[in-house]
Amino acid sequence: MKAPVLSSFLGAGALIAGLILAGPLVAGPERIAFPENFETEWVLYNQVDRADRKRVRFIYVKPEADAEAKPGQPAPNGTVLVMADRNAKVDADENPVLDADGRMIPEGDFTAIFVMEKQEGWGESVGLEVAPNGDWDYAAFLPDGTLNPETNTAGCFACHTRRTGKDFTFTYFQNVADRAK
Amino acid sequence: MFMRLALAALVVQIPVLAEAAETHVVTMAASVYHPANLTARVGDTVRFVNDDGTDHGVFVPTVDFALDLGTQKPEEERELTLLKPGTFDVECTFHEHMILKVEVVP
Repeated sequence: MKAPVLSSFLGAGALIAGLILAGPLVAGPERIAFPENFETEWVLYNQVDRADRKRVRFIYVKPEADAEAKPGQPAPNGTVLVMADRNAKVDADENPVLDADGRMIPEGDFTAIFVMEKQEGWGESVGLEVAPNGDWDYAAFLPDGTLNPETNTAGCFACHTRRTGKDFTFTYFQNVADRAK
Repeated sequence: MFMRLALAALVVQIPVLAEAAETHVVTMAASVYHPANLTARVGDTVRFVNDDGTDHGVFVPTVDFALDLGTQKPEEERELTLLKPGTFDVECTFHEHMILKVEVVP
């Protein structure tokens, strides 16, 4: 009669050990670290004018994973993308001021920093309350590097699921393809 | 002499008038950009008209042209003035299959 109890105990122990080795159980922004020094050490690969919000969005990729990226292929595990917003310069009527090429002019410091990170197996631990996004997860940080408590990353999942054919990215998959041409 | 200079000025102005900036209309009915390919000149404007029954958008991922004009509700219009030459893609933010290729020539 004791054997099954011992077996159950050992089984539970093995399960716990396995879960510990598998990494954090908590999915969500808490498992994404603030990207220190991204502005100086990461690759700035695109700049998107968001006219309706009067923001200029700077898009960076972590260089180590970027070096492994291949055109037409999903981004490698370990890829981290940053979308960092700055306000756009506006005129007296609050309309964005454009340069000679028609581009918005950023001014001031970053106002928000959004991160999407891809790690093997992360997709298995996100909840059913968000749309499937492969192994990507999302976080929104304030400029001081703390998580923005007002951001619900379910919105990130919902928006990025519109790019299933581009590995859930709006700019990076296309950028890797374009620069190979 | 004065008349000769005036005529010369007129001759020079004729081609300039022929290349005046145009507005190109792109529609979105049935979740398709129409036309799907557009060639325009620097200075021209593209007017995106959402003549569909659902939300659409204008998102450009191409480097040096990248922009997002935001959600465009049915019957709303957005305009984009082309100020430099080059080629870029336009994608609907909501519908991955909606693609427009734009070539801007000097």
